[in-house]
Amino acid sequence: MNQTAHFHLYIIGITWPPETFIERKIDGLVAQGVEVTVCASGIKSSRKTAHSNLSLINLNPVSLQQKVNRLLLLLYKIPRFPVRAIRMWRIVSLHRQALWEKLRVFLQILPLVSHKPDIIHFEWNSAAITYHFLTDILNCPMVVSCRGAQIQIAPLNPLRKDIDDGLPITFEKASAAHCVSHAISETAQGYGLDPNKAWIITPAVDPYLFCPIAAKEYKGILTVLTTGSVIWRKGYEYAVYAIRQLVDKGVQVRYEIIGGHQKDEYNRLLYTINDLDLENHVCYLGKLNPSEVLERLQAADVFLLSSLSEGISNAVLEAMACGIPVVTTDVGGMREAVTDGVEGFVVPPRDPHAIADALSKLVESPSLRKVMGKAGRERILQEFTLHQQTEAYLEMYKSVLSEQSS
Amino acid sequence: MRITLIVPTFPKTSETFIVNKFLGLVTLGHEVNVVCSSSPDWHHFPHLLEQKKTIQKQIRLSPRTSILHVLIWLPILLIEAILSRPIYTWRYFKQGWRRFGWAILRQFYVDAPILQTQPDLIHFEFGALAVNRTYLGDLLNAKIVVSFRGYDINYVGLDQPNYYAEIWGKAHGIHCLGNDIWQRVQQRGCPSHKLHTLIAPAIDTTIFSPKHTEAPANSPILRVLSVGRLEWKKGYEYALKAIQLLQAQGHKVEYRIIGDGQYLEAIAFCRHELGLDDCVTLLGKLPQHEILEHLEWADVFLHAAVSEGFCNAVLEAQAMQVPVVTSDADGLRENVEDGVTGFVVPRRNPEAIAEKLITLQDADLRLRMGQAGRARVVSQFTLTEQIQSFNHFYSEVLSQ
Repeated sequence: MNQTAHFHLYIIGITWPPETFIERKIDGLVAQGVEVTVCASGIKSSRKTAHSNLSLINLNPVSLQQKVNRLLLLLYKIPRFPVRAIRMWRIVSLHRQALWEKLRVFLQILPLVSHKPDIIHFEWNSAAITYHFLTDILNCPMVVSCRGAQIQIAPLNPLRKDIDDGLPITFEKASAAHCVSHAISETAQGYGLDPNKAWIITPAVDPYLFCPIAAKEYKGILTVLTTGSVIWRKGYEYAVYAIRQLVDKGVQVRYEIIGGHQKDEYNRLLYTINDLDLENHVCYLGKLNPSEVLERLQAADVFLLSSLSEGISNAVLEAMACGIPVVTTDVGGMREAVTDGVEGFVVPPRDPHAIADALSKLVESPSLRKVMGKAGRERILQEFTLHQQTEAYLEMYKSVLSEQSS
Repeated sequence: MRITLIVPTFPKTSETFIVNKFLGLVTLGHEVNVVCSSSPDWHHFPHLLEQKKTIQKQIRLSPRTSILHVLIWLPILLIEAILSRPIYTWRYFKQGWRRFGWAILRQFYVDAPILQTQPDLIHFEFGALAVNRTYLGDLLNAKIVVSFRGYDINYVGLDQPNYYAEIWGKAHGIHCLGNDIWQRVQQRGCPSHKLHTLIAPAIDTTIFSPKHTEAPANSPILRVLSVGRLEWKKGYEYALKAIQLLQAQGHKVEYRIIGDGQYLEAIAFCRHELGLDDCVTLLGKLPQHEILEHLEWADVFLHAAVSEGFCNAVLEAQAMQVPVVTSDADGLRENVEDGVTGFVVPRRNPEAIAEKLITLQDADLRLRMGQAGRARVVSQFTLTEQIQSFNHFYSEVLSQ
């Protein structure tokens, strides 16, 4: 094990249990001997976890019992660490206006008063904007992740001034910024990110879990699959419209969508399918458990990503690892994972005709599907493995630490 | 007759038609009550504010359903009902007990505001509101009328085949905004012999009346306007894409969007991605007098919806002599006369929108279509006629 991997990392402002890609990251770091503390909301009990060097702190007391416990913490922590507690209060006061807000935030972060992290990492820009002053309180460097929508979409929302104003502040304070793709890094530079601070670390997949199945039988119907929540930025309306065009051309096709949904967008999907008369061709399967998702993915002929915005889609990487050719829109960092004509096709966003054309090419040629699928898996093995991701994170953290000590 | 209208909110800017209908029915001498769950937008209706005190007596709010509210309000509502309408309430509980058992107490809590109005006729103004409520016809000895206005028939409950079955059986009358919606209602299981009426929305053509009626000069910039809530079903992304196509072909265009809603982020993102930040303005929600000013400003009204009941905003634009480019979603084909008062194009088709916008760069054509639009609205979509139609339909339902 690497000697220098002994440092204490605090991951702040996620939900627990975390999204798969954050979970994979934590697992990788913990396995390398990094001490990780996660401050998240949704934690039921703050005891030690399965890993001895992973611990949890609840950031948002929800139940009455948790709230009472948090108040009792006042009586216990403040007398033990009076100087630090006062300092914490003063810094919180600087960053919150209303007294109630000051008290609320102070109580939220009070458990951290006695902690000494080496690095704090905000996995979301919004978390960094809310809690960036922790870096002053805890006297340690901070790292912020730029993953997608919070850089590409939220700052453009007239109602999200907090993000637009907050991004430059957090980029100024951060010692390093983790960007999931070059494209995200470039967009972030528009909000004040110093390119020297940017570290491109792409998401990764476990190529042994996500692997092709040996015998795949083509039954004369092209199975197109998308995994991803039914939310507007996934652009499903364009995908479904593209399927209509394929059906009009006489192509035998079945389009499956797997993922949770937001109510209004679910209505939109159902309506679009009904309005375009595609009940027999498009199938929304809802949220499935991981093993079922994997099974469907391995059985699919083509993976389709119709997104309007992406950092780099984990779902696409998983499909590539399974040896499935990909049709993806040219958004965010998707071009960094898929080369047009090699592992699949890259088409302009909001263009159902282009999606339909790309899918037609894949319908016509089983050999093309096979070649592209194979190229996809090779690309994953070369560039997007969990091992490489963990190494890259460690390198980033070490660089931040050495900068700090010098 | 005593009519009770069931709506989500009253008065509400985006549902002005309910306000107009309410006032119209009152003028005809009916006792009209409204039951809703909130009453927010009074300041947008100056003519209502003048008589707010009298009107407020005709509005009843549904009680909130948190446990604390129920504990406090249930006994109060019970005592009020028993004291003010003892026999009527007795009847409600007698019938209700057979159907619901103890659960009638829970139903009563929700029904109390309607029961208090002792209606001859209950009109659910949106289909979704009437689901699981048609028993009220038996319990209150009233007739039930249900309106279908667009979203309720297009996608609410689409994943449950029998979602509206009970309404097809139990409602005494069905109101649809137009023939297109009536077709969809039948597709979802309503028998074709069901007593129904097609009454299109109507607008006040004295308020929506253009100040300038002469031909506008041929300006180098085409001024395009949309009014409508920011929601996916309004198809703003297709409208924006069409504007981009126009620009790419070297046409100058300015596009304003009035309205707010949860799809704002998606629209703002789309505007940015398509490089339209300079020529597209998102104005948010505006009061009627400001909307009128923007309608005076506009050369063309654009409505790219993918799902739409009938769309009052499109009627208002035509009344203001603005030619319309609209998609063919549902009732819009009945709303705009294609080639006469504007153009109807296939939905989800930005290329077709752009083509028609380019055609409408011709100021003379705009004037002709604008005038035809106003003439059509004045002759076919006036409030008095609409209220008369409802009056007639209600009498028909009651005499059934």
